[in-house]
Formats: sequence, structure tokens, C-alpha cells
Amino acid sequence: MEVYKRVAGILVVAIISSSLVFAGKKTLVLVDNWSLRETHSIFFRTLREKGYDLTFKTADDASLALVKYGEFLYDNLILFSPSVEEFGGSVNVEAITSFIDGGGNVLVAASSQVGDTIRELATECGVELDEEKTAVIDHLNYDMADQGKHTLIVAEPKNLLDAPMVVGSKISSPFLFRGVGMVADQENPLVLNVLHASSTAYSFNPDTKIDDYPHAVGKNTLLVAALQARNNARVVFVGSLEFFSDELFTSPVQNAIGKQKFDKSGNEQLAFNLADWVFREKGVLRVGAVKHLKKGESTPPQYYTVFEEVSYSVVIDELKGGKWVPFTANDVQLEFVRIDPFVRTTLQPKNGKFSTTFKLPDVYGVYQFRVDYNRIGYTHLFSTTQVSVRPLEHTQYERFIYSAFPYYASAFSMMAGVVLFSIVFLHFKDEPKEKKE
Amino acid sequence: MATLMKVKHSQLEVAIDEVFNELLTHTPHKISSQGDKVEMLASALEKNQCYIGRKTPKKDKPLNYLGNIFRVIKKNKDCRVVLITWLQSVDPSYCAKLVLREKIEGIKILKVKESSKHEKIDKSLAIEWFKELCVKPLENSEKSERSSLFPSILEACKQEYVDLNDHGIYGEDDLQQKLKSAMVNNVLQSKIVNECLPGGTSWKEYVENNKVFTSGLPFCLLYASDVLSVNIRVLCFPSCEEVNFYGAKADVTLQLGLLGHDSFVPLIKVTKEDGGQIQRLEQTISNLKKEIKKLKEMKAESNRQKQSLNEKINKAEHALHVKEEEYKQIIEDMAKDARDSIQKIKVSSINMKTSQAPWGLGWLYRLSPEKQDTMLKMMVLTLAAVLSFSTRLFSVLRFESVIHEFDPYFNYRTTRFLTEEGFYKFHNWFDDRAWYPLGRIIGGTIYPGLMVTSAVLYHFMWFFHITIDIRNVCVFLAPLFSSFTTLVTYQFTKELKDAGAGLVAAAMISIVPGYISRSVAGSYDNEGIAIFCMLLTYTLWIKSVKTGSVFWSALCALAYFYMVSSWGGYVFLINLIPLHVLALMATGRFSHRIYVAYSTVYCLGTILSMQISFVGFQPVQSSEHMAALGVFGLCQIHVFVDYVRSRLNTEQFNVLFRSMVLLVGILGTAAGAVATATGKISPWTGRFYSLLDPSYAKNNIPIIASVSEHQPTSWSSFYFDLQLLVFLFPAGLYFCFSRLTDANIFIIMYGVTSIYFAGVMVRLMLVLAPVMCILSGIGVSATLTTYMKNLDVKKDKKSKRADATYPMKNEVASAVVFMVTAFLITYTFHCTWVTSEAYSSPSIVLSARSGDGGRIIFDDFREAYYWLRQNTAEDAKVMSWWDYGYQITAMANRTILVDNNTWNNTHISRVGQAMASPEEKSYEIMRELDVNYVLVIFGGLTGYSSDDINKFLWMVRIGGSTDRGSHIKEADYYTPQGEFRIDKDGSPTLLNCLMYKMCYYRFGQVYTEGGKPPGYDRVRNAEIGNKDFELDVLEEAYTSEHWLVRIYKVKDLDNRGL
Repeated sequence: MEVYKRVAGILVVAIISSSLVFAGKKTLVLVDNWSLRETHSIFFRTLREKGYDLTFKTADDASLALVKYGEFLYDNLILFSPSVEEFGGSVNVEAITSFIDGGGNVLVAASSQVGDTIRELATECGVELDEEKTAVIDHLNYDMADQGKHTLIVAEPKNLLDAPMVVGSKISSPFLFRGVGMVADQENPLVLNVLHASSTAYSFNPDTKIDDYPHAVGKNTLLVAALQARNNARVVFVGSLEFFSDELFTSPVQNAIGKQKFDKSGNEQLAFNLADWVFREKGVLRVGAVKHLKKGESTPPQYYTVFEEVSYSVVIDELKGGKWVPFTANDVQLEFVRIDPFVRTTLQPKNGKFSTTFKLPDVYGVYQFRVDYNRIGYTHLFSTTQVSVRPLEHTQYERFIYSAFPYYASAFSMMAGVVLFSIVFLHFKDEPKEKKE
Repeated sequence: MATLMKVKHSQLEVAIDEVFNELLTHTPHKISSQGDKVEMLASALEKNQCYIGRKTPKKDKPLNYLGNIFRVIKKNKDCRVVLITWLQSVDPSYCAKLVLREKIEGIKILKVKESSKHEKIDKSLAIEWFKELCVKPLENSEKSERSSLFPSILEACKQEYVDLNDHGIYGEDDLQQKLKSAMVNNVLQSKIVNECLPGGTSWKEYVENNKVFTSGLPFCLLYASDVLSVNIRVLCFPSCEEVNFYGAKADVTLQLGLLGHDSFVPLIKVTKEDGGQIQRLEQTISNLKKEIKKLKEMKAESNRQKQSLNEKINKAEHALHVKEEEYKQIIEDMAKDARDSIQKIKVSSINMKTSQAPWGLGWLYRLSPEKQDTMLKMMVLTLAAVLSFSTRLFSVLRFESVIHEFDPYFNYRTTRFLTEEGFYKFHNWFDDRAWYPLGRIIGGTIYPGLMVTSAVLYHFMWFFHITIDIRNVCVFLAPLFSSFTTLVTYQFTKELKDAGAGLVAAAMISIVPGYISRSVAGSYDNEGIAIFCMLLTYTLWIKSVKTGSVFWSALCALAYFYMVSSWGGYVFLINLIPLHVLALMATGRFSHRIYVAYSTVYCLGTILSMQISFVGFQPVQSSEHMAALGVFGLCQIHVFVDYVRSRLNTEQFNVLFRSMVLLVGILGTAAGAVATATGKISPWTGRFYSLLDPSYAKNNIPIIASVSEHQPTSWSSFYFDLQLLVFLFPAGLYFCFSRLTDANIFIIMYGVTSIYFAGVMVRLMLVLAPVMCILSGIGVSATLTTYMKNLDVKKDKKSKRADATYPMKNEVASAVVFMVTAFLITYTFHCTWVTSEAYSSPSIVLSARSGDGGRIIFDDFREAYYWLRQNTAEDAKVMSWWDYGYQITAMANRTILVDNNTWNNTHISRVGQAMASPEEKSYEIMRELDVNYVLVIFGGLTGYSSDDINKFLWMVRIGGSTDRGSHIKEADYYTPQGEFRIDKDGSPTLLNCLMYKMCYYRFGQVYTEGGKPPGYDRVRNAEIGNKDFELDVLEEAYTSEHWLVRIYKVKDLDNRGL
């Protein structure tokens, strides 16, 4: 059992830490054309300043490669090439999904000119992009600067996902958005609706007559979607490439209907918050040492026995500014599971060490200490340690029970009685009575 | 006078020569001379043994025997002989001649019977002479005339007469006459003659005082009954049948035998009481006492006459003395010659013996019959035991020394644990490898008898530095114990009937297929030792019933404890014994013996059985054991009632009895109802119901019904497993009924109940097989005993003519014996064939015949299990149907979900649901249970019929039997016509369930048989209906060489949540 627990612990630590090794700063940026570097200079410059090692390539560059000698060349991938029909080199959708499955983070920006390749990639990640040439249209929430098609829409901050870890906090300015709408795969539990359009929005080709039900309507229309894969790789889809442009970063926002004016759009703030999150600058947790002991002992036993007091502790660290610091939270729970949880208790944090003490249930079996900390924005923290809980040994039962004393007494008195009777029977001879009647 | 004497002497010499010639030609074994014979007789007599001549001496050669006897008597000077002759056989005058010639003192000759038919010419004369000589006092004047005929004899006899007088019976001639006639009558009327007593003394005194030899049968008997330790020797001449007859009435052990070549061979030992005779004797004694008084007065008178005769006698004595010397010389010479020749023969015969092989059968003949008997029994038993061991070794010889099947693997694993870790760890063993995630308390859920037995054997061997592997101990344990079973069966049957039946039963059980099926080498299962324990318990129970001793009962309880510790079938035993007691009560055979036996066995047995933790408190709580408790109570009541009855008069007793019965009945019913309602008496478990009602399990508990061992037995398998015994069983029952005893009632009940149970469940054939053998053994033995007697081995026409009421006696007997022998021989062949063909495959390794007749071995199971062992994570959880659970834990050493210990129906049902559901649904279940690998057995490629598809319906039934699996309905897996088909017409539910997909994944591209389309299933003989499909939640991890075992890995959840 000892071995299992250790192996399980090490496995968990190894998985998380290995993904952290990759969470470096090497980033590949794929663009449709080089002019993008100019139109989105603020975004890229700021990333550079944050320490990212950006490599720009055109999407159809023949030397493109994500993998070399079985190792990933980059930690992150930024796809700012919505219209690409076919990637160059060895990159294709499959390569990108395996990059994700290998732990790489991807930031994808689409636009109304989105090509099939990007759409396919989105589908692989549980997000459905609308067709080419469509755009999100909102006749009630468009910017003053809109050119009449009502496609430069204003997204209110209240439409953001309530997850400060992903989107940051205190964004008051609305966001400007011009691009394609998205729909999340309802079946996929991992997709996050980061920013959705208002209830009056819909997605359609602004130049044609509406003769079909729109692909996305109202709040279902996603402007920004995110996916945290089970291996904690993160992917963010933004429907608008312009969302990251210098122009929208800096332009003022005024809703054409509501007239409320903001000097600067919230785009920049949200973009960098998203970038921090998608490149795993924040919201990354790891499990350190897992310890479980019988109360009052220092080494974990081979078996636990029912009713024993057990203390459990787990060290959880959070990545903050490139350093592992103790994680603080009050809602980390431990479950003691055998198919169903038999014990569920909140762990008490103390300087990054979460611990608790509880009494084992009176049911034997193979249990798991399970910490399953799943909060939006944080990496999925999962630690499981298998232990066996055995029933009492034959020497551990109560020897003399008070309520059984009458039975003991009767047993011993019976024995004494038999001995006495035997003595009397053997040594006392009745005189034969004359019975002649 | 002198010349006359000379003439007569020469006549005598001729007569004596004749005697010796006769002796030389007619002595047994052709090597003894008369001297040898004399020695033999003498030695026999010295041992206080009786000598029986072959029959009444033949008419023409009586003197051989008499001569011998006389010479013997001569050697034992302190003896006297009363010689009773049958007149037609022995002429008293010859006797007299011999007496004279040998000069033997103290011989009294009584003539017993004159037969009118066989009179000789000189008989009347002889009788006259005899009477005068022996019975009436001689009178001087008369004698002189008569003595002219046999002068010298007369002379000699006069002397005899005197001598006889000296010994105190002179003058009692009337009495002697009476005695004589009484004896004659009694012999003829087949009655005992001990009513005549001389002189008021008992026969014992009479014989003792007179140191008398008798050759008459009554004396012999009297000797045997009264005079055991006195220095008296008895010779008897009558035929063996007469001895038998009288011996049966004698009071003590009467040993009669034949004098053989060089040893005395006792033939008959008889004991029996006959008290009534004695009383009648005493009556006669008092009558006779009066007469004796009279006679004593007469004796005094005759004493005076005696004085006058003395002078004459002295003369004759002198003459005799001279002659005597001559005869002595002659006899000594002859004897010397004879001795020399004997010596030569002896030497030559010894040389012959030593030149033969030292273990020739010669030594066997030299043993006494008793020893030969024991020897024969031991040899038969040893052979049976060896046979029962060796006939179970087919599988080891054909394959290898492996553990078979499923359960044995678990037993093997636990035994290994026990030997390695010791008993306490074993007792407290919590196994987290099985029944994940529930775990199983192994120590508390098994019968440890088997493992402990093996471990003890193992340590015992190692103590003597026999370094045997524990696996081999396990493999060979069942054959070893079946050898023991053979011995116990012998003992058991011997208790029931006799040793002969025991031997037959032992020989039968050693090869009976019904028992072999569970005890071949490698079949390391509880039943292997349990049958031994069961029969041992029964044997001791019968012993204790017979003796009524606490000692045997306690031993029986111990054997019962061993039985409880080794098999759950002990429930049968603890119900059968009370049933026996109950039957004895019902038939009025209840006695203190049975009371003692049952009370002891029940109390001790129950306390002991509760020490097995798996049994726990069941013996006092569960309803299966209530019969035993009830009968125990009934015993106490029965005895108490008997006691009360003896103290009260009938009316009082009746009133008391009725009121008590009423009161106790009401109270008992109420208590039982309350206890059942509150759960103190556990409700009747399914297994037990299924015993009583064959359809119960099928209708209610699929997990019980799914086991092939629990199916009702077909008639063919009765014949297959028992063959001849099926027909001999009723014969055995008949013989038991014909001589009803306590023990026989037991075996009858055992036979009848077990034949019922065997009909309900195939598995219980095992319980039936021993009783079949025992009853058949009784049947065969009784039949053979009857008819072997009728066989006339000797070519004797007389005896044939004698059986006028039974024509063709010999022929009928021969036919019966021949028939039985033939049946037994076919039985042997059948058993060996069945063992070899049906019961000797280990089922872990399969074999088949290839087209060219060679043997193909399928070792897929082990191949796959070793793959699991080598290639999967150590804590990987493997899901499979429960049949393979034990094998996976034992051979692959991986955690499994369910195994053959089907203790948790819900958990098995969950696995059944996973197998029967479509992929997505199964995936949820497999995630819930943390399954890493799924293992299925598939026989479609090789034609191995007991694969998972054939078991699939049971998975559906069991899966659908619980609440969570209520969506699984058996009907969905059939075609609308109600067929179970795997081809295109099969139900879509079936074609898309997980089990189907796992079995037939990639199978659609495989050609299995020539002329058939790809994907042709060789077990179901159909082309599969769902060929090209991919697995979503599983990936194929391993498929063994012949596709028998397929292992799939459960995929993780998709990384991107698709």
C-alpha cells in the first residue's frame, strides 16, 4: 500500500510539475500577413515586455514546425491568422491539437474571414465558429464608430464570465468587438463562456437577407470562449482579431443607443488578462507532499483499521509571478471515497499546508483520499491516494463486555455445579432402599 | 497255554504290521510316517488342542487313527482315555488288541452304538466281550471258558480292569450303562449329553479327576464348557458338522481344528450360552446321587473279589513283560527308520523352499487363516488406496502439475499465504486485491480446513527435509485424501455390514467417477478433503451409536469439526444425523446409547463448529441448523418422558403428557415466530431453498442458477458418474432393509436423502457417490457371499444328489458369480475411461485434436494472465466476469472487481450491467469503479464453448436483478422470435452492447473456417451480425494467440472534453 500511495502522489506531482516546466515563455505567433505586427503592436510589445519570447511566422511558412525530435519547440501558440486555409510546414490541425494535448497553450483569434482550418481547430476544442463572412450583429449595442452594419458591437463587462482569475477584475469599460460569433458545445464541460454578446445580438452575414435561423442568437453568441483541457493546457478563442488591435485598444467607446461614453475601451485590459491566463501566468496550482497518518504516529501504516483517527495533509502551491508560493483558500475539501464519499471535510489551510483529522468509517474496503479542487480559472487540482481500511483483527475486539457478565457468571457457576455434582455422584452412595410395595 | 499264546502273538504281530503299513500309505502329505504322525498328535495334545479326524474313520481303516492315538496316549502317561467308538467304524476288539499291544494303562472303552445295518460277523461276540470286560465285574469261574478265544487279551484286560478300579469308577457299571445309552441317544437326537453324572460329581470333576481323554463329541463339549484350564486333552472323531452343531451350544470358546502338515490349524471357534441345560442337569444330579450311594456298597463287595484275582494277574503280567520287550524293540526300530526318512524329506523340502524366490506365495500358505485373512484385507485395501491415488494423476501426466479450474486457484493462493505468513495473519487477512473497492475479509469468509491441512502437510514434510513445493502439496492433496477416503469407506462399511462389503465398497469408491470429478490431481478444492471428513464423521457416528460411549462421540464431534472447517456441505451432515436420531425415535429404537451419542456430538460439535469464523453463530441462529437443535431438545424430552413414565401410573402420565405437549407446542411456535420476525433466526438462504425446490434458484436468484454446478442433474450424468452403482444401489438398500439395525437405518437415510439432493444439483453428486459405493458394496458382497457358498468346487457327486430342492444349484451360482464379475469389470473400464476423458483436463490449459490427429494445446489463459502481470501497472484494476476472478488474482496478481466468491450480488450485478450496456453507459460504470482493463474470454475462433458470449445471458439476468440495473431487460437481448442470436437477425441491443463489441472487435475480418464468410463464429455457428465497428471508450490492449482471452484498456476521459 505504501508503494501505491507514493506512486500515486508522485504521479500527480509529476504530471503537474511537468506541465509547469513547459509553461515557459517561448511563443510562436502565426499571422496572415506581416502588417499585423504593426496593427497589433501594443499587444505584442506588451507581451515582449512581460518576458515572452515571441517568434513571428506567417501561417503558410513552409518551415513551420511545432515539434522537433519529439519535443515541443514552443510553450505557447498565438494564432492570429483567421483566414488561413492550410498551415505551412508540418503544422496542421492535428499537430495543434496534439500540441494542446501535450500541454501547450493556444490563443486563437478569428474574424469574419475565418477559414475552415481555424473552424476545425475550434471544433476540436468544443467551440463552434459561425460560417465565413458572418459577423455578430447587434442593432441595439453598437458603437458610435460603426459603419452602419452594426457589426462593431459593444459588449458590456457584465457579460463577462464571473471569474476574476480569467478575466481579471474591475473592468468598467465595455469592449469593442467586430468579428465572428461562436457557440460553445453544450456537451463539453470544459468550455468557458468568457464573454457573450447581449441578448439582442445575433450572428449572420450582414450583407444578405436573413432567410435562415441564425447560427447563434442572443446570449448564446459567444465573443470569447476558453477551454482548459484536462491536462491544464489552455486555449482561448476570440471571435475578433481586431479585438487585439491597437485601434480598438485605444478607441473610445460610446454605445450608439445608450450614449454612455467611455474614453477607452476595456479591450486592452481584458486582452492582457486573458493572455496572462491562457499562458498560465496565473491560476496555476500544484500538489506537493501528501501525508496521511494514523493519529499519533509518524509513518503511514500499511493498513488502516476501521474507527481509527486519521490525519491527512496536502501541500498546495500556487504559481505567482513565476514563483511557487503557498496557496491560500478556505474551500479545499477532502473526500474519503469508496465509490461514494464516506467522509467529506474541509481542509484547514496553514501556510500552504492543508490538513484535517477525521475518524474512519466503520466500513472496510479500499478507499481513496481524494482532493478534487476544481475552480474556474484555476488549474484542475486532483490528488488521489489509495489506502485499505481493514476490519478489526480478532484480537482487537472487546474482550470482556459488561453486559455479558451474567452469562460469564452462569457459565462458571454451571462448571462448578457439574464438578460438585460429579463428586457427589461418584462418592456418595445411597443406601439401597427397600422398595417392596 | 503257552503255545496258544504264541500263535496268537504271531497273529497280533501280523495285525500290527498291517496297521503300520496303513499308516505309511494314508498319512497326510505323504511324507509322514507313523512316527511323524504320532509326534504331530502329541504336540497337538500338549497344546490342549482338540484333534478332529477327517470324518468318522472309514470302516476299513479305523486302526490308523486309533493306533496313533494310543501311541500318543502312551507318551502322555498321566492320561486316561475314554474311547467312545462308533461300532460300524471301529471294532472294539481291535481297540482291545491295540491297548494290549501298546500296554497302555487306564483305557476304558465304551461302545456307543451298534448299528444293525453294518454289523460284522464277530460283532456280537465282541460286544459280549466288551460288556464283560468293561462294564460288569468279572467272575472268576466264567472267565476261564471265554478266555480261550482271546486268552492273552483277556489276561491283559483283567489287569486293565484292576487298574480301572483303582481309578474309582469301578463298580459303577450301571451308571456307566446309563451314561452310555444317554450319550448314544443324545448323539443321535442331536442333544447335549450332560445329564448323566457319575457319583454326584460334575463332568468337570469327573474328567478332571480321571484325566480322561474322550474322543466322543459330548465330552469334547463338556471339556470345552467346564474344564478350561485343567490338564485334559480331548480328541474327537466326529465330523466337522457335528462339531459345529454342538459348538454352537457350548458355553465357552471351543477351539477345533485340523492337524496339518506341521501346524495345528484351528477351524472353528464357537461361543454361546446355554443356561437352560444346566438347570436340567442339576435335577438329574440329585436323582443320580441316590443311585450312586447304592452302587458304592456294591463296590465294596467287588473289592473282596478282586483280592482273589491278584495272583492270576501276576502270572500274566510276567508273560506279558517278556513279550513287551520284544515289541518295544520292533517299534523302536521302525520308528527310527521312519524318523530318518522324515528328516530326509524335511531337508529336501526346505531346500526346495529356499531355492524358490523369497517372496513366493509359499509363505502365505504357512500363515494361519486369520493372518491370511488380515493379509488379504490389507492387500486389497492397499491396492485400492494406491489405485485411487494413481487414477487421479491423468491430468498431471498429460499436462503438468498445475492447479485446475477456478476455485482451486483461490485456495492455492490462500494456502501459499498461509504457509508464508502464518496462521494469525491468514486469519486476519483482509484482501484488497479482490472485490475492489469493497475488499474481502478472507480469514472470515472461507473454510480454512483445506489450507490448514495443506500447510500442516507442507511443514511436516519440510521438517523432515523433504523440500516439496507448496504447489505440489496442493496439487496432490485431493488424490491423497481420496486414498484416505478409501480406507474410511472400508471402515464405515465394515461397521454397517462386514469386512467383505467394506472391501468391495472401498474398491468401488476408489474409482467412482462422481467422486473423481472433484478430486483429480490439481483440483484443489474443499470437496477434496470434505468427503473424507464426511465419511469419517459418519463412521465415528455409527461407532458411537453402536457403543453409546462418550469417547467415540467426542471423536465424532472432532471429525465433525474438521468437516465444518473444510466445507459448507457440513449442513447436510448436521441435518442427516438428527434425521437419523429422529428416525430411530420414530421406530422405537431410541436408547440410552443414542441419547449419549447424540447429546455429546451435538453439544461438542456445535461449540467446535462455532470456532470457525465463517460459521460463527449460524449453528444457533440459522434455520438450516434448527433441525439439529430441535432433535437435541426432543432427545431430552424423550428421556425425561421415559423417566416420568417410569415414576407415574398411566393415567397420571397421560394427563401430564397431554397438557405438556399442548403448552410446549404453543410456546415453541410463538418463540419461533418471534425469533424469525426479529431476525434472530435468519431467513432460509437461497442455496438451501434451491435444494428443496429445484426451480427456486432459477426463478429467484440468478447468481445461484448461473453456476453450472447448480443445475439439476440429468439421468445420463447419473449413469455417467456412477454406472453400475445406479443399479446396485437398490440391491444394497434391500439388503439393508432385510436386516434392519440402527446403523443400517442411517445408511438408508443417507442414501435416500443424498439421491434426492444429487438430483437437484449436479454438484451434490459428490455426496451421493460414497453412499452409492457403500450400498453397492453391501449389495455385491451379500450376493457373492450367498452364491459363492453354493459353488461346488469339489467334484463330489454325493452332495449334488443331496440338493434335490435346489436344482442346478451349482450352475446358477456360477452364472451369478460370473455375471457380477463381468459387471464389476465393465465398471472398472467405464470409470477409467470417464476419468481419463472427462475429468482430467485442467481447464486452464485446453487441448484439442488437430486434423492430423495430433494434440494442440491452447495455453491462452496463462499467456494472457502473464501478459497482465508483466505489462500493466501494479495497482491496475481488471474487470472481468466473476468466473475468472480467482485466476486473475492468483496468476496475474492484479486487483479485480468480482470473483468466484459470489458474496456480493450487487457488485456482480454492477459488472453485469457494464457488460450488457452500450459503450457510453458502460463507460460510466467503469469510471465509477476505477476500471483500467477489461478482460473477456472469447471462443469464437477456436470453438471453445464456455466463453463469455455463452455466459452472457447470465450477465444480463444478474445485471438486471438489482435496482440500478432495472433498465436491463433480458427480453431486449432476444430476437422477436425469442432466440439468442449473434448474427444479423440478432437483437440490436445485443449487437451493440459492450460484451459483444469486445468479443467481436476486429473479428469481422478473420476467416475461421474454410467455406465460410469472414467473422464466422465457430461456437455459435453463425456469421456475426455487427462486423465493422470501432471502440470509443476502450482500446484493444492484448489478444492471446487463439483469441481466447482479449484484454481491453479503458481510455481516459478526452483531454479536450469531447
